[in-house]
Amino acid sequence: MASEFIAGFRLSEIPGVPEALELAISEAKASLEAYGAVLKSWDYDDAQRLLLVHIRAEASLLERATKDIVAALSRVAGVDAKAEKLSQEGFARARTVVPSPPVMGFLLRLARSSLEGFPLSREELLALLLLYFSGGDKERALLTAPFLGISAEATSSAFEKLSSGKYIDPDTHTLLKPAERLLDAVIPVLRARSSMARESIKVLDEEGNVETFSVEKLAASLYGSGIPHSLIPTVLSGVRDALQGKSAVSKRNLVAIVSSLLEDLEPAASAAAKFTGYVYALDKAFVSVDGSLKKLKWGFLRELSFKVLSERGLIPPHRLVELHADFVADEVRGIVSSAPWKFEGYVFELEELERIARHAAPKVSATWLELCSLDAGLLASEYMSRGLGYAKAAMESIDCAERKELAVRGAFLFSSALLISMKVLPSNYVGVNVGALRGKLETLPQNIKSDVARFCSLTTSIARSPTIATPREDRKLLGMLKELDELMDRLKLEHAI
Amino acid sequence: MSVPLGPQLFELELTVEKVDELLPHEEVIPEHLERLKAAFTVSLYQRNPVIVDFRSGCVLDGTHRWAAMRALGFKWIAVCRVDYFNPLVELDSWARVYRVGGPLNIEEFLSDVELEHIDLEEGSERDLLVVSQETYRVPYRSVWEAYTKLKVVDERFSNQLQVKPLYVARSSVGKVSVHEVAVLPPRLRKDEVVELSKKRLLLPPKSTRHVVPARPMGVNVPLKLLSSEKGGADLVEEFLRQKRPLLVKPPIFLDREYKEAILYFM
Repeated sequence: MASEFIAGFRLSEIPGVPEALELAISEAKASLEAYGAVLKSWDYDDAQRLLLVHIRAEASLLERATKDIVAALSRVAGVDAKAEKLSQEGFARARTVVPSPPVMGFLLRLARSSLEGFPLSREELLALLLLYFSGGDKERALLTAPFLGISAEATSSAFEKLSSGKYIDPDTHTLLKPAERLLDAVIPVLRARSSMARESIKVLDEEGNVETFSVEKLAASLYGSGIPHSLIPTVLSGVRDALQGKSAVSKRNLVAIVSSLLEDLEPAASAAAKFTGYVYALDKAFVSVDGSLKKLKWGFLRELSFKVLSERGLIPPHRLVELHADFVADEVRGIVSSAPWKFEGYVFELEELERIARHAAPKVSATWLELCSLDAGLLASEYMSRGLGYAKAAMESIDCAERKELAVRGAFLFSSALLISMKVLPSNYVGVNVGALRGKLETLPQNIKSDVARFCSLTTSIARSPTIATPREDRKLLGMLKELDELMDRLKLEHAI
Repeated sequence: MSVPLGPQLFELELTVEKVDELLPHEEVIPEHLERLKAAFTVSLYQRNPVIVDFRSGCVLDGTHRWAAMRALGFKWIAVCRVDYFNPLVELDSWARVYRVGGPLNIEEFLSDVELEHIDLEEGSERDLLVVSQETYRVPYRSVWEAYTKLKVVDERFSNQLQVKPLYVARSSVGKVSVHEVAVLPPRLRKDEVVELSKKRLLLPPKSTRHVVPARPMGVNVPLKLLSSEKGGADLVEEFLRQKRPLLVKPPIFLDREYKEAILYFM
């Protein structure tokens, strides 16, 4: 079972370049990840020349991890390091006290709200949530309390009240049934209260394509067009107001609404013209191919994306090509809209567009970049080991948000490995990878097909599961994780055969 | 912050204090101070906070760090404030064990120091004792006088025999071999330590041995935040608030053995 440890290393000398230590640790981190050990943080005392490293791993892997860290320090930082015995066992056992950032953020928001209308008092409810998210560990909960601005004494006395109210076991502090039932009901309410309502307005462009309105995408366009950042929140809230109650809007009207807001806010800065120029920049872009000019259209960009992404010998899935084309289009828009406005057309050489496309490729597929220097088979087996390591670490994590994050990371790496073995280029997104795997199901041998289909379905369910889980949701997630882990082990064997 | 220690909570506060407002209670070892000053000159951080009594500002642990930072002109220092009079904070003294190479006539060696020959069992923890094959009590009227006499005894061993002492907790000193002489300073009370520090009367280095049951380490406060006269404190406190500790149960061997729980802010 993975636990937290601190390993100590005495360095022979202080590294000449301070960054060398950072680089060495970063390399060691990657080596450790390959077998499921996680290097979480480190600290260096130059007076003692003592490097302390926080590792999460199974105890049996610590010796190997130590050797890898020593090797990375020697290779990258050029210093000899000797492992120090920090406790009788060699490695000091440690415990992460404060929950992961998503859980901590959730608790911080609650600690600042009044929490009225619940069957428990504010202090008792906070203490119960704190205990639940600390994995039922009273010590951890009490140490976390001050980081939320709650006194540990108040939390401690709330625990006593929760014990006498039969919500928690007085000795073990495990949650009893009434507490679980309460949390199952309360957490979704608190989650819903803190999440923003999502708009589902359709945007219709000039060619009849329909997409869902996204504030993030609009913000990205405003940012890309060079609008002062201070104006963006005001514009977004103005657009929200203008679209209130609508179910659809045309792209041209949406651009008009934004332009008018920008004219009101910044009449002297030509902000509206900049934005319009940016959104319609592709209309002004041309490409020179074999001496003739072609208007730059989406079809051309997708062909270009497909060509560049295929350069490593793996076929990019359709969705990956679309995403990549979006990145290339953004780059093209940036270039065209920053050119003087009087130009009616901007001509790109094909080589320039290819350069832009290659530059954008790692943004959608890190594998594309890694394949420059690594063999696809080796990369697939490394992804597979790392994916399995993350899945196992996820099952052993006591923090629900960390558990989900590790599981999704594991499933992502594993899906990447499976795609490479099918000669398909993996993306940087787990959803795209799962979509690509589903598209390949029919081509798979019967014995693997059902396992891959189940892997896709489990990965999607885990990725969509709430990060701040109720006890019931958490049990369900753990069940899915267990199944995912078994599936991955089986698929690894089938892959090896 | 409250650190749960079994059924009890131990209160500590990670914050900053003005360097000039803290009160040391021990002298520093010059070589150790110079080493630390050199380390602070090249370092970007104050790694570990000094432990201070929240009522009096008396520095309980980290006198050398405090002295080095004061000498280098820092205005602020990261501290861990504790309630010194909490029984969980233990106070012991450091006994000195000198390897003298063979039997030594203590009465001759310390001829100018008043000595009373006693049986070892007669000595109490409030006595200043010199223990070889025989046991001697050094009489004193005040603890300040006792520690002044301790300094004389220490200097005699260091200068005449050219030996450096081995420091061990007074409570852990057992039998002394024929090659050794142990000097056992009187065990101080906490109120005496605070009183002496308030009067600016410094005890010799390595007089007190404080054991706090939980100790924050690795806070790495940027030194640039500790050098500015104004605004530094607010920034440091905000900086400290975002730190997340890792709990390490004792014992852990770092620069020495720590028998207390460590909150490592990595």
